[in-house]
Amino acid sequence: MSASTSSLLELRQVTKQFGETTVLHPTDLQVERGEVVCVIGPSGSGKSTLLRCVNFIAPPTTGTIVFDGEEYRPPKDHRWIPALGIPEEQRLTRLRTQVGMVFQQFNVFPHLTVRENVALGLRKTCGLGKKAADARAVEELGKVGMAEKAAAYPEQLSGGQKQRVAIARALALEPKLMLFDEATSALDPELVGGVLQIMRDLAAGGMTMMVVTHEMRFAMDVADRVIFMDRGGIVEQGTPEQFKSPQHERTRAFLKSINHG
Amino acid sequence: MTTTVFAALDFGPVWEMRSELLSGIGTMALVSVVSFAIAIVGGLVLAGMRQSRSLPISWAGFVLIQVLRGIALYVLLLWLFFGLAAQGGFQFEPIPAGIFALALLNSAYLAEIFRAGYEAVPPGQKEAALACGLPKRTWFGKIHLPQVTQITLPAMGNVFVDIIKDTSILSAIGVAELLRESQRWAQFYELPFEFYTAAAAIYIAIVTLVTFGWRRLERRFSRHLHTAPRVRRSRGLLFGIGGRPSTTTAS
Repeated sequence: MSASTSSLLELRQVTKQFGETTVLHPTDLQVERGEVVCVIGPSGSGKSTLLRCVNFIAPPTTGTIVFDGEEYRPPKDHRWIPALGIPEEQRLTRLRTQVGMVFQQFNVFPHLTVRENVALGLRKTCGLGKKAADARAVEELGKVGMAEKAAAYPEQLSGGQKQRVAIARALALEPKLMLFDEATSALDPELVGGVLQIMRDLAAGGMTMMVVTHEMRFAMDVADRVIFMDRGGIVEQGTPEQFKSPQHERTRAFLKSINHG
Repeated sequence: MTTTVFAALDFGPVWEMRSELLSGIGTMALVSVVSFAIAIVGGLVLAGMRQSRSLPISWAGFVLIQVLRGIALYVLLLWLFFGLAAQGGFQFEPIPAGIFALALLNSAYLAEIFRAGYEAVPPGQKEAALACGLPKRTWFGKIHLPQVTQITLPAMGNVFVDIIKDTSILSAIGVAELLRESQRWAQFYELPFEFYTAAAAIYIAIVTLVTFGWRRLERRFSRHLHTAPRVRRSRGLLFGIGGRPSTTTAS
Protein backbone atom coordinates (compact mmCIF):
# COMPACT_ATOMS: atom_id res chain seq x y z
CA MET A 1 0.00 0.00 0.00
CA SER A 2 2.31 2.76 -1.18
CA ALA A 3 1.22 6.25 -0.19
CA SER A 4 1.61 7.96 -3.50
CA THR A 5 0.53 11.56 -2.94
CA SER A 6 0.27 12.31 -6.63
CA SER A 7 -2.60 9.90 -7.23
CA LEU A 8 -5.90 11.67 -7.76
CA LEU A 9 -7.85 8.74 -6.40
CA GLU A 10 -6.91 5.89 -4.14
CA LEU A 11 -9.14 3.10 -2.88
CA ARG A 12 -7.83 1.25 0.17
CA GLN A 13 -9.47 -2.07 1.05
CA VAL A 14 -12.85 -0.83 -0.12
CA THR A 15 -15.73 -3.29 0.23
CA LYS A 16 -19.44 -3.09 -0.41
CA GLN A 17 -22.14 -5.31 1.02
CA PHE A 18 -25.88 -5.22 0.50
CA GLY A 19 -27.22 -7.04 3.54
CA GLU A 20 -25.56 -10.44 3.52
CA THR A 21 -24.38 -10.20 -0.08
CA THR A 22 -20.86 -9.02 -0.74
CA VAL A 23 -20.79 -7.27 -4.10
CA LEU A 24 -17.30 -5.85 -3.74
CA HIS A 25 -14.49 -7.75 -2.01
CA PRO A 26 -11.61 -5.75 -0.49
CA THR A 27 -10.27 -3.71 -3.37
CA ASP A 28 -7.21 -1.50 -3.72
CA LEU A 29 -6.91 0.84 -6.65
CA GLN A 30 -5.03 3.98 -7.60
CA VAL A 31 -5.91 6.33 -10.42
CA GLU A 32 -3.33 8.88 -11.50
CA ARG A 33 -4.15 12.35 -12.73
CA GLY A 34 -4.99 12.33 -16.42
CA GLU A 35 -5.29 8.55 -16.48
CA VAL A 36 -8.12 6.81 -18.32
CA VAL A 37 -9.10 3.55 -16.63
CA CYS A 38 -11.56 1.27 -18.37
CA VAL A 39 -13.32 -1.33 -16.25
CA ILE A 40 -14.63 -4.40 -18.02
CA GLY A 41 -16.23 -7.60 -16.84
CA PRO A 42 -19.45 -9.61 -16.89
CA SER A 43 -22.62 -8.12 -15.45
CA GLY A 44 -22.86 -8.47 -11.70
CA SER A 45 -19.08 -8.40 -11.36
CA GLY A 46 -19.12 -5.25 -9.22
CA LYS A 47 -18.02 -2.69 -11.85
CA SER A 48 -20.88 -0.27 -11.27
CA THR A 49 -20.61 -0.73 -7.51
CA LEU A 50 -16.93 0.16 -7.66
CA LEU A 51 -17.79 3.40 -9.45
CA ARG A 52 -20.61 4.21 -7.05
CA CYS A 53 -18.33 3.75 -4.08
CA VAL A 54 -15.95 6.37 -5.43
CA ASN A 55 -18.48 9.21 -5.17
CA PHE A 56 -20.40 7.60 -2.29
CA ILE A 57 -23.63 7.27 -4.29
CA ALA A 58 -23.42 3.76 -2.86
CA PRO A 59 -21.20 4.35 0.17
CA PRO A 60 -18.63 1.60 0.74
CA THR A 61 -19.24 -0.69 3.70
CA THR A 62 -15.61 -0.60 4.81
CA GLY A 63 -12.37 0.89 3.56
CA THR A 64 -11.01 4.31 2.77
CA ILE A 65 -11.20 6.47 -0.31
CA VAL A 66 -8.60 9.17 -0.79
CA PHE A 67 -9.52 11.77 -3.36
CA ASP A 68 -7.18 14.64 -4.13
CA GLY A 69 -5.43 14.21 -0.77
CA GLU A 70 -8.61 14.04 1.31
CA GLU A 71 -9.73 10.90 3.08
CA TYR A 72 -13.32 9.70 3.04
CA ARG A 73 -14.65 6.80 5.09
CA PRO A 74 -18.03 5.05 5.14
CA PRO A 75 -20.54 7.37 6.82
CA LYS A 76 -21.93 6.18 10.14
CA ASP A 77 -25.54 5.15 10.12
CA HIS A 78 -27.32 7.58 12.45
CA ARG A 79 -30.59 5.72 12.63
CA TRP A 80 -31.71 7.29 15.88
CA ILE A 81 -30.55 10.87 15.48
CA PRO A 82 -30.16 11.54 11.72
CA ALA A 83 -29.06 15.14 12.30
CA LEU A 84 -25.66 13.88 13.46
CA GLY A 85 -24.90 12.84 9.91
CA ILE A 86 -25.14 16.34 8.44
CA PRO A 87 -21.45 17.42 8.58
CA GLU A 88 -20.40 14.14 6.95
CA GLU A 89 -23.07 14.63 4.28
CA GLN A 90 -21.80 18.13 3.51
CA ARG A 91 -18.28 16.80 3.09
CA LEU A 92 -19.52 14.17 0.65
CA THR A 93 -21.46 16.82 -1.25
CA ARG A 94 -18.19 18.73 -1.75
CA LEU A 95 -16.52 15.52 -2.93
CA ARG A 96 -19.28 14.94 -5.46
CA THR A 97 -18.92 18.40 -7.00
CA GLN A 98 -15.40 17.31 -7.97
CA VAL A 99 -16.45 13.95 -9.40
CA GLY A 100 -18.80 13.92 -12.39
CA MET A 101 -20.86 10.86 -13.18
CA VAL A 102 -22.69 9.69 -16.29
CA PHE A 103 -25.22 6.86 -16.02
CA GLN A 104 -26.43 4.08 -18.28
CA GLN A 105 -30.03 5.32 -18.00
CA PHE A 106 -28.98 9.00 -18.48
CA ASN A 107 -30.96 10.10 -15.41
CA VAL A 108 -31.64 13.53 -16.83
CA PHE A 109 -34.28 15.40 -14.84
CA PRO A 110 -37.48 15.00 -16.92
CA HIS A 111 -39.36 17.96 -15.44
CA LEU A 112 -36.58 20.44 -16.22
CA THR A 113 -35.56 21.80 -19.60
CA VAL A 114 -32.21 20.82 -21.03
CA ARG A 115 -30.77 24.16 -19.96
CA GLU A 116 -32.18 23.88 -16.44
CA ASN A 117 -30.74 20.37 -16.16
CA VAL A 118 -27.25 21.81 -16.56
CA ALA A 119 -27.81 25.14 -14.82
CA LEU A 120 -29.22 23.72 -11.57
CA GLY A 121 -25.90 22.30 -10.41
CA LEU A 122 -24.08 25.50 -11.38
CA ARG A 123 -26.45 27.57 -9.29
CA LYS A 124 -26.51 25.32 -6.26
CA THR A 125 -22.86 24.29 -6.06
CA CYS A 126 -20.91 27.08 -7.76
CA GLY A 127 -23.13 29.86 -6.45
CA LEU A 128 -23.80 31.33 -9.88
CA GLY A 129 -26.82 33.59 -10.39
CA LYS A 130 -29.63 32.44 -12.66
CA LYS A 131 -28.47 34.42 -15.70
CA ALA A 132 -24.82 33.46 -15.34
CA ALA A 133 -25.74 29.82 -14.77
CA ASP A 134 -28.02 29.77 -17.82
CA ALA A 135 -25.29 31.29 -19.99
CA ARG A 136 -22.71 28.79 -18.73
CA ALA A 137 -25.20 25.97 -19.25
CA VAL A 138 -25.74 26.88 -22.90
CA GLU A 139 -21.99 27.14 -23.34
CA GLU A 140 -21.48 23.64 -21.90
CA LEU A 141 -24.32 22.30 -24.04
CA GLY A 142 -22.59 23.79 -27.07
CA LYS A 143 -19.53 21.66 -26.37
CA VAL A 144 -21.60 18.50 -26.81
CA GLY A 145 -23.61 19.87 -29.72
CA MET A 146 -26.83 20.37 -27.78
CA ALA A 147 -27.04 24.18 -27.51
CA GLU A 148 -29.99 24.46 -29.88
CA LYS A 149 -32.01 22.06 -27.70
CA ALA A 150 -31.54 24.18 -24.57
CA ALA A 151 -35.25 24.99 -24.27
CA ALA A 152 -36.48 21.45 -24.96
CA TYR A 153 -37.57 18.94 -22.35
CA PRO A 154 -35.74 15.58 -22.19
CA GLU A 155 -38.92 13.80 -23.35
CA GLN A 156 -38.38 15.39 -26.75
CA LEU A 157 -34.83 14.08 -27.10
CA SER A 158 -33.34 10.84 -28.37
CA GLY A 159 -31.30 8.64 -26.06
CA GLY A 160 -28.05 9.92 -27.51
CA GLN A 161 -29.14 13.50 -26.99
CA LYS A 162 -30.17 12.81 -23.41
CA GLN A 163 -26.78 11.30 -22.73
CA ARG A 164 -25.06 14.37 -24.19
CA VAL A 165 -27.09 16.54 -21.86
CA ALA A 166 -26.09 14.32 -18.94
CA ILE A 167 -22.43 14.65 -19.94
CA ALA A 168 -22.73 18.43 -20.22
CA ARG A 169 -24.42 18.51 -16.80
CA ALA A 170 -21.50 16.65 -15.25
CA LEU A 171 -18.78 18.60 -17.08
CA ALA A 172 -20.31 21.97 -16.21
CA LEU A 173 -19.04 21.61 -12.65
CA GLU A 174 -15.46 21.19 -13.95
CA PRO A 175 -14.86 17.87 -12.19
CA LYS A 176 -11.37 16.48 -11.61
CA LEU A 177 -12.60 12.95 -12.26
CA MET A 178 -15.34 11.65 -14.54
CA LEU A 179 -17.11 8.34 -13.94
CA PHE A 180 -18.91 6.71 -16.86
CA ASP A 181 -21.18 3.83 -15.92
CA GLU A 182 -21.98 1.98 -19.16
CA ALA A 183 -22.78 5.32 -20.73
CA THR A 184 -23.58 3.81 -24.13
CA SER A 185 -25.25 0.53 -23.15
CA ALA A 186 -28.82 1.88 -23.33
CA LEU A 187 -28.31 3.64 -26.68
CA ASP A 188 -29.48 2.56 -30.08
CA PRO A 189 -26.43 1.31 -32.03
CA GLU A 190 -26.36 4.27 -34.41
CA LEU A 191 -26.18 6.72 -31.49
CA VAL A 192 -23.27 5.06 -29.68
CA GLY A 193 -20.56 6.55 -31.87
CA GLY A 194 -21.42 10.17 -31.10
CA VAL A 195 -21.30 9.69 -27.36
CA LEU A 196 -18.08 7.68 -27.55
CA GLN A 197 -16.53 10.48 -29.62
CA ILE A 198 -17.30 12.97 -26.84
CA MET A 199 -15.62 10.62 -24.37
CA ARG A 200 -12.59 10.23 -26.65
CA ASP A 201 -12.28 14.01 -26.93
CA LEU A 202 -12.54 14.32 -23.19
CA ALA A 203 -9.78 11.73 -22.66
CA ALA A 204 -7.61 13.46 -25.24
CA GLY A 205 -8.12 16.71 -23.34
CA GLY A 206 -6.48 15.17 -20.27
CA MET A 207 -9.54 14.37 -18.16
CA THR A 208 -9.08 11.68 -15.54
CA MET A 209 -11.71 9.05 -16.28
CA MET A 210 -13.02 5.77 -14.94
CA VAL A 211 -15.10 4.11 -17.63
CA VAL A 212 -17.22 1.00 -17.12
CA THR A 213 -17.89 -0.21 -20.63
CA HIS A 214 -18.61 -3.11 -22.92
CA GLU A 215 -17.12 -1.27 -25.90
CA MET A 216 -13.84 -3.15 -26.19
CA ARG A 217 -12.57 -1.13 -29.15
CA PHE A 218 -13.06 2.05 -27.20
CA ALA A 219 -11.28 0.54 -24.19
CA MET A 220 -8.38 -0.65 -26.30
CA ASP A 221 -8.04 2.72 -28.07
CA VAL A 222 -8.53 5.15 -25.23
CA ALA A 223 -7.60 3.44 -21.98
CA ASP A 224 -4.24 3.87 -20.30
CA ARG A 225 -5.17 0.90 -18.17
CA VAL A 226 -7.79 -1.80 -18.41
CA ILE A 227 -9.21 -3.51 -15.34
CA PHE A 228 -11.03 -6.80 -15.57
CA MET A 229 -13.46 -7.50 -12.74
CA ASP A 230 -15.33 -10.68 -11.92
CA ARG A 231 -17.38 -11.81 -8.90
CA GLY A 232 -16.82 -8.64 -6.95
CA GLY A 233 -13.08 -8.27 -7.33
CA ILE A 234 -10.32 -7.11 -9.66
CA VAL A 235 -8.98 -10.19 -11.45
CA GLU A 236 -6.42 -8.57 -13.70
CA GLN A 237 -5.25 -5.16 -14.82
CA GLY A 238 -2.80 -3.82 -17.33
CA THR A 239 -2.32 -1.77 -20.46
CA PRO A 240 -4.56 -2.46 -23.46
CA GLU A 241 -1.48 -4.02 -25.06
CA GLN A 242 -1.14 -6.48 -22.19
CA PHE A 243 -4.84 -7.30 -22.46
CA LYS A 244 -4.30 -8.68 -25.94
CA SER A 245 -2.76 -11.70 -24.23
CA PRO A 246 -4.44 -11.86 -20.83
CA GLN A 247 -2.83 -13.81 -18.00
CA HIS A 248 -5.92 -15.05 -16.28
CA GLU A 249 -8.19 -17.79 -17.55
CA ARG A 250 -11.37 -15.90 -16.53
CA THR A 251 -10.22 -12.85 -18.47
CA ARG A 252 -9.59 -14.93 -21.54
CA ALA A 253 -13.01 -16.55 -21.26
CA PHE A 254 -14.71 -13.18 -20.90
CA LEU A 255 -12.89 -11.56 -23.81
CA LYS A 256 -13.64 -14.58 -25.94
CA SER A 257 -17.33 -14.50 -25.03
CA ILE A 258 -17.79 -10.83 -25.94
CA ASN A 259 -15.80 -11.15 -29.15
CA HIS A 260 -17.97 -13.97 -30.35
CA GLY A 261 -21.21 -12.76 -28.79
CA MET B 1 -97.53 3.81 -16.32
CA THR B 2 -94.33 5.74 -16.72
CA THR B 3 -96.19 8.84 -17.83
CA THR B 4 -98.27 8.95 -14.67
CA VAL B 5 -95.19 8.71 -12.48
CA PHE B 6 -93.51 11.59 -14.22
CA ALA B 7 -96.70 13.60 -14.36
CA ALA B 8 -96.81 13.50 -10.58
CA LEU B 9 -93.35 15.01 -10.24
CA ASP B 10 -93.23 18.49 -8.77
CA PHE B 11 -89.86 20.23 -8.83
CA GLY B 12 -91.39 23.60 -8.01
CA PRO B 13 -90.58 23.42 -4.27
CA VAL B 14 -86.99 22.42 -5.09
CA TRP B 15 -86.62 25.65 -7.05
CA GLU B 16 -88.31 27.62 -4.29
CA MET B 17 -85.85 26.25 -1.75
CA ARG B 18 -82.86 26.99 -3.97
CA SER B 19 -81.27 29.45 -1.57
CA GLU B 20 -81.43 26.88 1.26
CA LEU B 21 -79.89 24.23 -0.97
CA LEU B 22 -77.29 26.73 -2.09
CA SER B 23 -76.30 27.42 1.49
CA GLY B 24 -75.99 23.65 1.91
CA ILE B 25 -73.63 23.62 -1.08
CA GLY B 26 -71.67 26.45 0.54
CA THR B 27 -71.23 24.45 3.74
CA MET B 28 -70.22 21.40 1.73
CA ALA B 29 -67.63 23.43 -0.19
CA LEU B 30 -66.23 25.01 2.96
CA VAL B 31 -65.96 21.69 4.80
CA SER B 32 -64.45 19.87 1.79
CA VAL B 33 -61.83 22.49 0.98
CA VAL B 34 -60.74 23.05 4.57
CA SER B 35 -60.58 19.32 5.39
CA PHE B 36 -58.69 18.58 2.18
CA ALA B 37 -56.16 21.31 2.92
CA ILE B 38 -55.62 20.07 6.48
CA ALA B 39 -55.49 16.46 5.23
CA ILE B 40 -52.71 17.37 2.79
CA VAL B 41 -50.64 18.87 5.60
CA GLY B 42 -51.42 15.89 7.83
CA GLY B 43 -50.63 13.46 5.01
CA LEU B 44 -47.26 15.11 4.41
CA VAL B 45 -46.46 14.92 8.11
CA LEU B 46 -47.47 11.24 8.33
CA ALA B 47 -45.64 10.33 5.11
CA GLY B 48 -42.59 12.22 6.38
CA MET B 49 -42.74 10.27 9.63
CA ARG B 50 -43.01 6.97 7.74
CA GLN B 51 -40.06 7.93 5.58
CA SER B 52 -37.93 9.16 8.47
CA ARG B 53 -34.58 7.48 9.01
CA SER B 54 -35.23 7.69 12.72
CA LEU B 55 -36.85 4.41 13.74
CA PRO B 56 -39.15 5.63 16.57
CA ILE B 57 -40.63 8.35 14.33
CA SER B 58 -41.11 5.90 11.48
CA TRP B 59 -42.90 3.43 13.78
CA ALA B 60 -45.15 6.12 15.20
CA GLY B 61 -46.13 7.12 11.67
CA PHE B 62 -46.89 3.52 10.76
CA VAL B 63 -49.14 3.02 13.82
CA LEU B 64 -51.00 6.30 13.27
CA ILE B 65 -51.69 5.50 9.62
CA GLN B 66 -52.92 1.99 10.43
CA VAL B 67 -55.24 3.24 13.17
CA LEU B 68 -56.70 6.01 11.04
CA ARG B 69 -57.20 3.75 8.05
CA GLY B 70 -59.05 1.29 10.23
CA ILE B 71 -61.74 3.70 11.42
CA ALA B 72 -64.91 4.31 9.42
CA LEU B 73 -65.74 8.00 8.99
CA TYR B 74 -69.22 7.50 10.44
CA VAL B 75 -67.80 5.84 13.55
CA LEU B 76 -65.15 8.51 14.09
CA LEU B 77 -67.75 11.22 13.65
CA LEU B 78 -70.10 9.78 16.27
CA TRP B 79 -67.19 9.09 18.60
CA LEU B 80 -65.90 12.66 18.35
CA PHE B 81 -69.28 14.35 18.54
CA PHE B 82 -71.25 12.21 21.00
CA GLY B 83 -68.64 9.94 22.56
CA LEU B 84 -66.16 12.56 23.68
CA ALA B 85 -68.93 14.84 24.93
CA ALA B 86 -70.41 12.10 27.10
CA GLN B 87 -67.07 11.10 28.60
CA GLY B 88 -65.04 14.23 29.13
CA GLY B 89 -67.60 16.94 28.61
CA PHE B 90 -65.71 18.20 25.56
CA GLN B 91 -68.36 19.19 23.05
CA PHE B 92 -67.32 19.80 19.44
CA GLU B 93 -69.40 22.09 17.28
CA PRO B 94 -70.77 20.03 14.34
CA ILE B 95 -68.75 21.68 11.58
CA PRO B 96 -65.35 21.55 13.34
CA ALA B 97 -66.05 17.94 14.32
CA GLY B 98 -66.82 17.11 10.70
CA ILE B 99 -63.75 18.88 9.38
CA PHE B 100 -61.55 17.24 11.99
CA ALA B 101 -62.83 13.75 11.23
CA LEU B 102 -62.57 14.15 7.44
CA ALA B 103 -59.09 15.66 7.68
CA LEU B 104 -57.83 13.00 10.07
CA LEU B 105 -58.97 9.99 8.06
CA ASN B 106 -57.96 11.37 4.70
CA SER B 107 -54.53 12.43 5.93
CA ALA B 108 -53.85 8.70 6.39
CA TYR B 109 -54.97 7.94 2.83
CA LEU B 110 -52.95 10.85 1.46
CA ALA B 111 -49.92 9.73 3.46
CA GLU B 112 -50.01 6.37 1.68
CA ILE B 113 -50.46 8.11 -1.68
CA PHE B 114 -47.52 10.42 -0.97
CA ARG B 115 -45.41 7.48 0.12
CA ALA B 116 -46.19 5.51 -3.03
CA GLY B 117 -45.42 8.60 -5.13
CA TYR B 118 -42.23 9.14 -3.18
CA GLU B 119 -41.08 5.65 -4.05
CA ALA B 120 -42.27 5.80 -7.66
CA VAL B 121 -39.61 8.27 -8.74
CA PRO B 122 -36.77 6.25 -10.32
CA PRO B 123 -33.82 5.95 -7.89
CA GLY B 124 -31.53 7.15 -10.66
CA GLN B 125 -32.94 10.63 -10.18
CA LYS B 126 -31.57 10.83 -6.66
CA GLU B 127 -28.26 9.28 -7.70
CA ALA B 128 -27.88 11.82 -10.49
CA ALA B 129 -28.84 14.75 -8.26
CA LEU B 130 -26.34 13.73 -5.59
CA ALA B 131 -23.68 12.95 -8.20
CA CYS B 132 -24.13 16.51 -9.48
CA GLY B 133 -23.15 17.73 -6.03
CA LEU B 134 -26.64 18.92 -5.17
CA PRO B 135 -27.26 19.01 -1.42
CA LYS B 136 -30.01 16.70 -0.21
CA ARG B 137 -32.48 19.53 0.36
CA THR B 138 -32.01 20.73 -3.24
CA TRP B 139 -32.53 17.21 -4.52
CA PHE B 140 -35.71 17.03 -2.49
CA GLY B 141 -37.13 20.43 -3.38
CA LYS B 142 -36.08 20.76 -7.02
CA ILE B 143 -35.85 17.19 -8.29
CA HIS B 144 -37.90 14.91 -6.10
CA LEU B 145 -40.91 16.91 -4.98
CA PRO B 146 -41.95 18.14 -8.46
CA GLN B 147 -41.88 14.56 -9.75
CA VAL B 148 -43.72 13.20 -6.73
CA THR B 149 -46.36 15.90 -7.20
CA GLN B 150 -46.87 14.95 -10.82
CA ILE B 151 -47.22 11.28 -9.90
CA THR B 152 -49.56 11.81 -6.94
CA LEU B 153 -51.91 14.48 -8.33
CA PRO B 154 -54.40 12.07 -9.96
CA ALA B 155 -54.78 10.03 -6.76
CA MET B 156 -55.03 13.23 -4.71
CA GLY B 157 -57.90 14.31 -6.95
CA ASN B 158 -59.72 11.09 -6.12
CA VAL B 159 -59.34 11.78 -2.40
CA PHE B 160 -60.73 15.29 -2.88
CA VAL B 161 -63.75 13.90 -4.72
CA ASP B 162 -64.28 11.33 -1.96
CA ILE B 163 -64.15 14.08 0.66
CA ILE B 164 -66.77 16.12 -1.22
CA LYS B 165 -69.12 13.15 -1.33
CA ASP B 166 -68.35 12.12 2.25
CA THR B 167 -69.45 15.52 3.58
CA SER B 168 -72.97 14.06 3.20
CA ILE B 169 -72.21 11.80 6.19
CA LEU B 170 -71.85 14.95 8.31
CA SER B 171 -75.64 15.27 8.12
CA ALA B 172 -75.64 12.61 10.86
CA ILE B 173 -74.35 15.12 13.41
CA GLY B 174 -76.52 17.94 12.10
CA VAL B 175 -74.14 19.82 9.82
CA ALA B 176 -76.39 21.80 7.47
CA GLU B 177 -74.69 20.66 4.28
CA LEU B 178 -76.41 19.78 1.03
CA LEU B 179 -77.86 16.40 2.05
CA ARG B 180 -79.15 17.69 5.41
CA GLU B 181 -80.90 20.58 3.66
CA SER B 182 -82.39 18.24 1.07
CA GLN B 183 -83.60 15.89 3.80
CA ARG B 184 -85.21 18.74 5.69
CA TRP B 185 -87.19 20.05 2.74
CA ALA B 186 -87.95 16.60 1.39
CA GLN B 187 -89.73 15.88 4.65
CA PHE B 188 -91.39 19.29 4.85
CA TYR B 189 -92.86 19.13 1.33
CA GLU B 190 -93.17 15.31 1.36
CA LEU B 191 -91.32 15.23 -1.95
CA PRO B 192 -88.35 12.90 -1.28
CA PHE B 193 -87.91 11.86 -4.91
CA GLU B 194 -87.62 15.44 -6.15
CA PHE B 195 -85.29 16.72 -3.43
CA TYR B 196 -82.99 13.67 -3.40
CA THR B 197 -82.85 13.70 -7.21
CA ALA B 198 -81.83 17.35 -7.05
CA ALA B 199 -79.22 16.57 -4.40
CA ALA B 200 -77.78 13.72 -6.47
CA ALA B 201 -77.66 15.94 -9.56
CA ILE B 202 -75.85 18.64 -7.63
CA TYR B 203 -73.26 16.16 -6.29
CA ILE B 204 -72.68 14.86 -9.81
CA ALA B 205 -72.33 18.37 -11.22
CA ILE B 206 -69.88 19.49 -8.54
CA VAL B 207 -67.76 16.34 -8.76
CA THR B 208 -67.66 16.69 -12.55
CA LEU B 209 -66.53 20.30 -12.31
CA VAL B 210 -63.87 19.48 -9.74
CA THR B 211 -62.62 16.55 -11.84
CA PHE B 212 -62.20 18.75 -14.89
CA GLY B 213 -60.53 21.50 -12.90
CA TRP B 214 -58.19 18.96 -11.34
CA ARG B 215 -57.30 17.62 -14.76
CA ARG B 216 -56.08 21.07 -15.75
CA LEU B 217 -53.90 21.12 -12.66
CA GLU B 218 -52.49 17.71 -13.59
CA ARG B 219 -51.65 18.99 -17.07
CA ARG B 220 -49.78 21.93 -15.61
CA PHE B 221 -47.55 19.61 -13.64
CA SER B 222 -46.91 17.25 -16.54
CA ARG B 223 -46.36 19.85 -19.25
CA HIS B 224 -42.84 18.50 -19.82
CA LEU B 225 -44.47 15.34 -21.17
CA HIS B 226 -46.57 17.05 -23.82
CA THR B 227 -44.91 20.20 -25.02
CA ALA B 228 -44.99 19.47 -28.72
CA PRO B 229 -47.15 22.18 -30.36
CA ARG B 230 -49.23 19.58 -32.24
CA VAL B 231 -50.47 18.23 -28.94
CA ARG B 232 -51.28 21.70 -27.60
CA ARG B 233 -53.53 22.40 -30.56
CA SER B 234 -55.30 19.09 -30.16
CA ARG B 235 -56.90 20.12 -26.88
CA GLY B 236 -60.51 19.02 -26.72
CA LEU B 237 -63.46 21.36 -26.54
CA LEU B 238 -63.80 21.17 -22.80
CA PHE B 239 -60.90 21.13 -20.33
CA GLY B 240 -58.79 18.82 -22.40
CA ILE B 241 -61.45 16.14 -22.74
CA GLY B 242 -61.66 14.63 -26.17
CA GLY B 243 -58.23 15.79 -27.30
CA ARG B 244 -55.91 13.42 -29.02
CA PRO B 245 -53.68 11.51 -26.63
CA SER B 246 -50.39 13.23 -26.04
CA THR B 247 -47.98 10.66 -27.35
CA THR B 248 -45.91 12.91 -29.58
CA THR B 249 -42.18 12.81 -29.03
CA ALA B 250 -39.55 14.27 -31.26
CA SER B 251 -36.43 12.23 -31.67
